[in-house]
Amino acid sequence: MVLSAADKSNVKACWGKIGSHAGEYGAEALERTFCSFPTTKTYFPHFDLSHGSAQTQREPTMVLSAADKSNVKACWGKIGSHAGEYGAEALERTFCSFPTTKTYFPHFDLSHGSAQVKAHGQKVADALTQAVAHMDDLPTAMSALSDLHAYKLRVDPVNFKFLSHCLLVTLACHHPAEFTPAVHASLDKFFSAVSTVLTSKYR
Amino acid sequence: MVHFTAEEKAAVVSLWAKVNVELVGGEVLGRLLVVYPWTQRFFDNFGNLSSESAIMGNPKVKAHGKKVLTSFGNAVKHMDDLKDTFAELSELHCDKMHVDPENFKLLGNMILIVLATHFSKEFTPQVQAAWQKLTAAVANALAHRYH
Repeated sequence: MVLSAADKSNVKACWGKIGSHAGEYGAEALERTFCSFPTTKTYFPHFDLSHGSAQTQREPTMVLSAADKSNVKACWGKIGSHAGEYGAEALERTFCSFPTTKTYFPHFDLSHGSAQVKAHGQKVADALTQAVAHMDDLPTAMSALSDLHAYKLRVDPVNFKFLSHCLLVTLACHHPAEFTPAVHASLDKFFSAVSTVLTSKYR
Repeated sequence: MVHFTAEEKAAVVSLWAKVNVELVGGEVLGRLLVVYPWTQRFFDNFGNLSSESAIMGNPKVKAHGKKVLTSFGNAVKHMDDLKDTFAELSELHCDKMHVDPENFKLLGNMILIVLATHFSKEFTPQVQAAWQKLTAAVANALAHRYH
Protein backbone atom coordinates (compact mmCIF):
# COMPACT_ATOMS: atom_id res chain seq x y z
CA MET A 1 0.00 0.00 0.00
CA VAL A 2 1.88 3.02 -1.39
CA LEU A 3 1.07 6.57 -0.33
CA SER A 4 -0.54 8.59 -3.13
CA ALA A 5 0.03 12.31 -3.60
CA ALA A 6 -3.41 12.89 -2.06
CA ASP A 7 -2.51 10.71 0.93
CA LYS A 8 0.70 12.67 1.53
CA SER A 9 -1.20 15.96 1.24
CA ASN A 10 -3.88 14.82 3.72
CA VAL A 11 -1.29 13.59 6.24
CA LYS A 12 0.79 16.80 6.04
CA ALA A 13 -2.28 19.02 6.45
CA CYS A 14 -3.60 17.02 9.40
CA TRP A 15 -0.25 16.73 11.17
CA GLY A 16 0.31 20.46 10.61
CA LYS A 17 -2.98 21.28 12.38
CA ILE A 18 -1.92 19.10 15.36
CA GLY A 19 1.10 21.35 15.89
CA SER A 20 2.47 21.41 19.41
CA HIS A 21 -0.17 18.92 20.64
CA ALA A 22 1.70 16.07 18.91
CA GLY A 23 3.54 14.94 22.04
CA GLU A 24 0.36 14.99 24.14
CA TYR A 25 -1.46 12.94 21.48
CA GLY A 26 1.44 10.47 21.28
CA ALA A 27 1.21 9.82 25.01
CA GLU A 28 -2.59 9.50 24.85
CA ALA A 29 -2.28 7.00 21.96
CA LEU A 30 0.15 4.93 24.01
CA GLU A 31 -2.21 4.97 27.01
CA ARG A 32 -5.08 3.85 24.77
CA THR A 33 -2.87 1.09 23.34
CA PHE A 34 -1.91 -0.25 26.80
CA CYS A 35 -5.52 -0.08 27.92
CA SER A 36 -7.18 -1.78 24.95
CA PHE A 37 -4.36 -4.19 24.18
CA PRO A 38 -2.76 -5.22 27.53
CA THR A 39 -0.25 -7.53 25.85
CA THR A 40 1.59 -4.42 24.59
CA LYS A 41 2.58 -3.67 28.17
CA THR A 42 5.03 -6.59 27.99
CA TYR A 43 7.43 -4.25 26.18
CA PHE A 44 7.45 -1.73 29.05
CA PRO A 45 8.13 -3.70 32.26
CA HIS A 46 10.52 -0.90 33.22
CA PHE A 47 7.89 1.86 32.86
CA ASP A 48 5.32 3.34 35.21
CA LEU A 49 2.23 2.86 33.06
CA SER A 50 -0.27 4.64 35.29
CA HIS A 51 -2.26 7.56 33.83
CA GLY A 52 -0.11 10.65 33.48
CA SER A 53 3.16 8.73 33.78
CA ALA A 54 6.16 10.87 32.87
CA GLN A 55 7.74 7.99 30.97
CA THR A 56 4.94 7.49 28.43
CA GLN A 57 4.99 11.17 27.75
CA ARG A 58 8.49 10.87 25.12
CA GLU A 59 6.35 -3.74 10.25
CA PRO A 60 9.60 -4.15 10.22
CA THR A 61 11.04 -2.96 6.98
CA MET A 62 12.54 -6.26 6.01
CA VAL A 63 14.67 -6.09 2.91
CA LEU A 64 16.05 -9.12 1.06
CA SER A 65 19.82 -9.34 1.50
CA ALA A 66 22.18 -10.79 -1.13
CA ALA A 67 22.34 -13.99 0.94
CA ASP A 68 18.53 -14.18 1.03
CA LYS A 69 18.29 -13.84 -2.75
CA SER A 70 20.96 -16.47 -3.22
CA ASN A 71 19.19 -18.90 -0.84
CA VAL A 72 15.82 -18.38 -2.52
CA LYS A 73 17.25 -18.83 -6.03
CA ALA A 74 19.10 -22.00 -5.03
CA CYS A 75 16.11 -23.52 -3.28
CA TRP A 76 13.64 -22.66 -6.02
CA GLY A 77 16.10 -24.00 -8.60
CA LYS A 78 16.21 -27.39 -6.82
CA ILE A 79 12.41 -27.54 -6.79
CA GLY A 80 12.43 -27.35 -10.57
CA SER A 81 9.47 -29.00 -12.25
CA HIS A 82 7.86 -29.90 -8.89
CA ALA A 83 6.86 -26.26 -8.38
CA GLY A 84 3.30 -26.75 -9.66
CA GLU A 85 2.80 -29.85 -7.53
CA TYR A 86 4.03 -27.99 -4.45
CA GLY A 87 1.84 -25.02 -5.26
CA ALA A 88 -1.20 -27.28 -5.32
CA GLU A 89 -0.16 -29.01 -2.10
CA ALA A 90 0.37 -25.66 -0.37
CA LEU A 91 -3.13 -24.63 -1.40
CA GLU A 92 -4.60 -27.89 -0.10
CA ARG A 93 -2.78 -27.42 3.20
CA THR A 94 -4.07 -23.84 3.40
CA PHE A 95 -7.69 -24.87 2.83
CA CYS A 96 -7.30 -27.66 5.38
CA SER A 97 -5.62 -25.71 8.21
CA PHE A 98 -7.30 -22.37 7.58
CA PRO A 99 -10.83 -23.16 6.39
CA THR A 100 -11.73 -19.47 6.13
CA THR A 101 -9.51 -19.31 3.05
CA LYS A 102 -12.01 -21.49 1.22
CA THR A 103 -14.39 -18.54 1.09
CA TYR A 104 -12.35 -17.23 -1.85
CA PHE A 105 -12.99 -20.38 -3.87
CA PRO A 106 -16.73 -21.11 -3.74
CA HIS A 107 -16.53 -21.95 -7.43
CA PHE A 108 -13.83 -24.60 -6.99
CA ASP A 109 -13.97 -28.29 -6.28
CA LEU A 110 -11.66 -28.34 -3.25
CA SER A 111 -11.51 -32.11 -2.73
CA HIS A 112 -8.13 -33.87 -2.68
CA GLY A 113 -6.69 -34.18 -6.19
CA SER A 114 -9.02 -31.57 -7.66
CA ALA A 115 -8.00 -30.54 -11.17
CA GLN A 116 -8.92 -26.94 -10.38
CA VAL A 117 -6.64 -26.85 -7.34
CA LYS A 118 -3.84 -28.48 -9.38
CA ALA A 119 -4.20 -25.83 -12.08
CA HIS A 120 -4.34 -23.03 -9.56
CA GLY A 121 -1.30 -24.41 -7.76
CA GLN A 122 0.60 -24.30 -11.04
CA LYS A 123 -0.51 -20.68 -11.53
CA VAL A 124 0.74 -19.70 -8.07
CA ALA A 125 4.03 -21.57 -8.64
CA ASP A 126 4.59 -19.90 -12.03
CA ALA A 127 4.03 -16.47 -10.47
CA LEU A 128 6.52 -17.28 -7.72
CA THR A 129 9.05 -18.49 -10.32
CA GLN A 130 8.69 -15.09 -12.01
CA ALA A 131 9.17 -13.38 -8.67
CA VAL A 132 12.33 -15.38 -7.97
CA ALA A 133 13.73 -14.27 -11.33
CA HIS A 134 13.02 -10.61 -10.54
CA MET A 135 13.79 -10.26 -6.86
CA ASP A 136 15.60 -6.98 -7.51
CA ASP A 137 12.41 -5.33 -8.66
CA LEU A 138 9.36 -7.18 -7.39
CA PRO A 139 6.94 -4.23 -7.69
CA THR A 140 7.57 -3.93 -11.43
CA ALA A 141 7.64 -7.66 -12.13
CA MET A 142 4.43 -8.27 -10.19
CA SER A 143 2.57 -5.12 -11.14
CA ALA A 144 -0.18 -6.91 -13.07
CA LEU A 145 -0.78 -9.42 -10.27
CA SER A 146 -0.72 -6.58 -7.79
CA ASP A 147 -3.50 -4.82 -9.74
CA LEU A 148 -5.49 -8.05 -9.95
CA HIS A 149 -5.37 -8.63 -6.20
CA ALA A 150 -6.15 -5.00 -5.36
CA TYR A 151 -9.00 -4.29 -7.73
CA LYS A 152 -10.52 -7.65 -8.61
CA LEU A 153 -9.67 -10.42 -6.13
CA ARG A 154 -9.32 -8.28 -2.98
CA VAL A 155 -8.10 -11.18 -0.87
CA ASP A 156 -7.77 -9.99 2.73
CA PRO A 157 -4.06 -9.49 3.54
CA VAL A 158 -4.14 -11.99 6.43
CA ASN A 159 -4.54 -14.84 3.95
CA PHE A 160 -1.16 -14.25 2.34
CA LYS A 161 0.41 -15.19 5.68
CA PHE A 162 -1.54 -18.48 5.73
CA LEU A 163 -0.51 -19.46 2.20
CA SER A 164 3.11 -18.39 2.81
CA HIS A 165 3.22 -20.56 5.93
CA CYS A 166 1.80 -23.56 4.06
CA LEU A 167 4.31 -23.06 1.25
CA LEU A 168 7.06 -23.25 3.88
CA VAL A 169 5.53 -26.41 5.39
CA THR A 170 5.28 -28.01 1.92
CA LEU A 171 8.92 -27.24 1.14
CA ALA A 172 9.97 -28.46 4.59
CA CYS A 173 8.17 -31.76 3.96
CA HIS A 174 9.69 -32.38 0.54
CA HIS A 175 13.19 -30.96 1.02
CA PRO A 176 14.04 -31.28 4.73
CA ALA A 177 17.79 -31.39 4.09
CA GLU A 178 17.83 -28.17 2.05
CA PHE A 179 15.38 -26.43 4.38
CA THR A 180 18.01 -25.24 6.83
CA PRO A 181 17.13 -22.45 9.29
CA ALA A 182 18.93 -19.88 7.10
CA VAL A 183 17.11 -20.96 3.94
CA HIS A 184 13.84 -21.07 5.92
CA ALA A 185 14.44 -17.48 7.07
CA SER A 186 15.22 -16.28 3.53
CA LEU A 187 12.13 -17.96 2.08
CA ASP A 188 9.96 -16.54 4.85
CA LYS A 189 11.25 -13.05 4.02
CA PHE A 190 10.77 -13.64 0.29
CA PHE A 191 7.15 -14.76 0.64
CA SER A 192 6.57 -11.81 2.93
CA ALA A 193 8.04 -9.43 0.34
CA VAL A 194 5.86 -10.93 -2.41
CA SER A 195 2.78 -10.63 -0.17
CA THR A 196 3.58 -6.99 0.51
CA VAL A 197 3.80 -6.24 -3.22
CA LEU A 198 0.54 -8.08 -3.91
CA THR A 199 -1.29 -5.96 -1.31
CA SER A 200 0.54 -2.72 -2.12
CA LYS A 201 -2.30 -1.15 -4.12
CA TYR A 202 -5.13 -2.14 -1.77
CA ARG A 203 -5.69 1.42 -0.61
CA MET B 1 -13.01 -24.03 24.77
CA VAL B 2 -11.51 -25.63 21.69
CA HIS B 3 -13.05 -28.92 20.67
CA PHE B 4 -10.80 -31.54 19.10
CA THR B 5 -12.38 -34.39 17.15
CA ALA B 6 -11.31 -37.97 17.81
CA GLU B 7 -9.39 -37.94 14.52
CA GLU B 8 -7.55 -34.74 15.44
CA LYS B 9 -6.58 -36.12 18.84
CA ALA B 10 -5.38 -39.35 17.25
CA ALA B 11 -3.31 -37.45 14.69
CA VAL B 12 -1.65 -35.38 17.40
CA VAL B 13 -1.04 -38.18 19.89
CA SER B 14 0.33 -40.69 17.38
CA LEU B 15 2.82 -38.20 15.90
CA TRP B 16 3.86 -36.95 19.35
CA ALA B 17 4.79 -40.50 20.37
CA LYS B 18 7.52 -40.43 17.71
CA VAL B 19 8.93 -37.01 18.56
CA ASN B 20 12.42 -36.79 20.06
CA VAL B 21 11.59 -33.93 22.42
CA GLU B 22 15.20 -33.01 23.15
CA LEU B 23 16.21 -32.84 19.48
CA VAL B 24 13.05 -31.24 18.15
CA GLY B 25 12.83 -28.77 21.04
CA GLY B 26 16.29 -27.43 20.30
CA GLU B 27 15.51 -27.13 16.59
CA VAL B 28 12.21 -25.36 17.23
CA LEU B 29 13.68 -22.72 19.51
CA GLY B 30 16.78 -22.37 17.31
CA ARG B 31 14.70 -21.73 14.21
CA LEU B 32 12.59 -19.18 16.09
CA LEU B 33 15.74 -17.21 16.94
CA VAL B 34 17.13 -17.50 13.39
CA VAL B 35 13.98 -16.81 11.39
CA TYR B 36 12.60 -14.10 13.72
CA PRO B 37 15.76 -12.57 15.20
CA TRP B 38 13.82 -10.05 17.28
CA THR B 39 12.77 -12.95 19.50
CA GLN B 40 16.38 -13.03 20.73
CA ARG B 41 15.38 -10.14 22.99
CA PHE B 42 14.33 -12.66 25.65
CA PHE B 43 17.62 -14.50 25.66
CA ASP B 44 20.36 -11.93 26.28
CA ASN B 45 22.06 -14.29 28.72
CA PHE B 46 22.25 -17.21 26.31
CA GLY B 47 25.72 -16.33 25.01
CA ASN B 48 26.59 -16.53 21.33
CA LEU B 49 23.55 -15.98 19.07
CA SER B 50 25.48 -14.23 16.32
CA SER B 51 24.91 -16.64 13.45
CA GLU B 52 22.71 -19.53 12.34
CA SER B 53 25.33 -22.10 13.35
CA ALA B 54 26.00 -20.36 16.66
CA ILE B 55 22.28 -20.38 17.49
CA MET B 56 21.58 -23.96 16.36
CA GLY B 57 24.65 -25.24 18.23
CA ASN B 58 24.14 -23.16 21.36
CA PRO B 59 23.75 -25.52 24.37
CA LYS B 60 21.48 -23.05 26.24
CA VAL B 61 19.18 -22.84 23.23
CA LYS B 62 19.00 -26.63 23.04
CA ALA B 63 18.34 -26.97 26.76
CA HIS B 64 15.65 -24.31 26.80
CA GLY B 65 14.10 -25.69 23.65
CA LYS B 66 13.82 -29.07 25.34
CA LYS B 67 12.16 -27.42 28.36
CA VAL B 68 9.63 -25.58 26.19
CA LEU B 69 8.73 -28.62 24.12
CA THR B 70 8.45 -30.83 27.21
CA SER B 71 5.92 -28.35 28.51
CA PHE B 72 4.13 -28.55 25.18
CA GLY B 73 3.86 -32.28 25.80
CA ASN B 74 1.46 -31.38 28.60
CA ALA B 75 -0.82 -29.85 26.00
CA VAL B 76 -0.94 -33.14 24.13
CA LYS B 77 -2.01 -34.88 27.36
CA HIS B 78 -4.67 -32.26 28.18
CA MET B 79 -6.10 -31.19 24.85
CA ASP B 80 -9.55 -30.74 26.38
CA ASP B 81 -8.34 -28.58 29.22
CA LEU B 82 -5.67 -26.25 27.88
CA LYS B 83 -6.72 -23.05 29.68
CA ASP B 84 -6.39 -24.61 33.13
CA THR B 85 -3.29 -26.59 32.18
CA PHE B 86 -1.45 -23.42 31.17
CA ALA B 87 -2.99 -20.93 33.66
CA GLU B 88 0.09 -20.67 35.82
CA LEU B 89 2.47 -20.52 32.87
CA SER B 90 0.30 -17.80 31.38
CA GLU B 91 0.67 -15.63 34.45
CA LEU B 92 4.38 -16.33 34.52
CA HIS B 93 4.86 -15.28 30.88
CA CYS B 94 2.91 -12.09 31.55
CA ASP B 95 4.08 -10.98 34.98
CA LYS B 96 7.63 -12.29 35.14
CA MET B 97 8.84 -12.79 31.57
CA HIS B 98 6.86 -10.01 29.82
CA VAL B 99 6.50 -12.02 26.62
CA ASP B 100 4.22 -10.65 23.89
CA PRO B 101 1.75 -13.49 23.12
CA GLU B 102 2.43 -12.94 19.43
CA ASN B 103 5.59 -14.93 20.12
CA PHE B 104 3.52 -18.00 21.05
CA LYS B 105 2.08 -17.98 17.53
CA LEU B 106 5.54 -17.68 16.02
CA LEU B 107 6.80 -20.59 18.14
CA GLY B 108 3.74 -22.64 17.20
CA ASN B 109 4.56 -22.18 13.53
CA MET B 110 8.14 -23.27 14.16
CA ILE B 111 6.83 -26.48 15.78
CA LEU B 112 4.77 -27.13 12.67
CA ILE B 113 7.70 -26.58 10.35
CA VAL B 114 10.16 -28.72 12.29
CA LEU B 115 7.58 -31.53 12.46
CA ALA B 116 7.28 -31.18 8.68
CA THR B 117 11.03 -31.59 8.20
CA HIS B 118 11.04 -34.70 10.41
CA PHE B 119 7.88 -36.44 9.24
CA SER B 120 7.64 -35.41 5.57
CA LYS B 121 4.96 -37.46 3.78
CA GLU B 122 3.46 -38.50 7.11
CA PHE B 123 2.79 -34.84 7.86
CA THR B 124 -0.27 -34.78 5.63
CA PRO B 125 -2.53 -31.73 5.31
CA GLN B 126 -4.94 -33.33 7.79
CA VAL B 127 -2.21 -34.01 10.34
CA GLN B 128 -0.91 -30.47 9.87
CA ALA B 129 -4.40 -29.06 10.41
CA ALA B 130 -4.76 -30.91 13.73
CA TRP B 131 -1.40 -29.55 14.87
CA GLN B 132 -2.24 -26.01 13.68
CA LYS B 133 -5.35 -26.19 15.84
CA LEU B 134 -3.37 -27.41 18.84
CA THR B 135 -0.60 -24.82 18.59
CA ALA B 136 -3.16 -22.03 18.13
CA ALA B 137 -5.12 -23.28 21.16
CA VAL B 138 -1.96 -23.46 23.29
CA ALA B 139 -1.02 -19.93 22.20
CA ASN B 140 -4.48 -18.74 23.28
CA ALA B 141 -4.26 -20.59 26.60
CA LEU B 142 -0.87 -19.02 27.32
CA ALA B 143 -2.25 -15.57 26.55
CA HIS B 144 -5.43 -16.12 28.55
CA ARG B 145 -4.24 -14.73 31.90
CA TYR B 146 -2.60 -11.62 30.50
CA HIS B 147 -3.76 -8.36 31.94
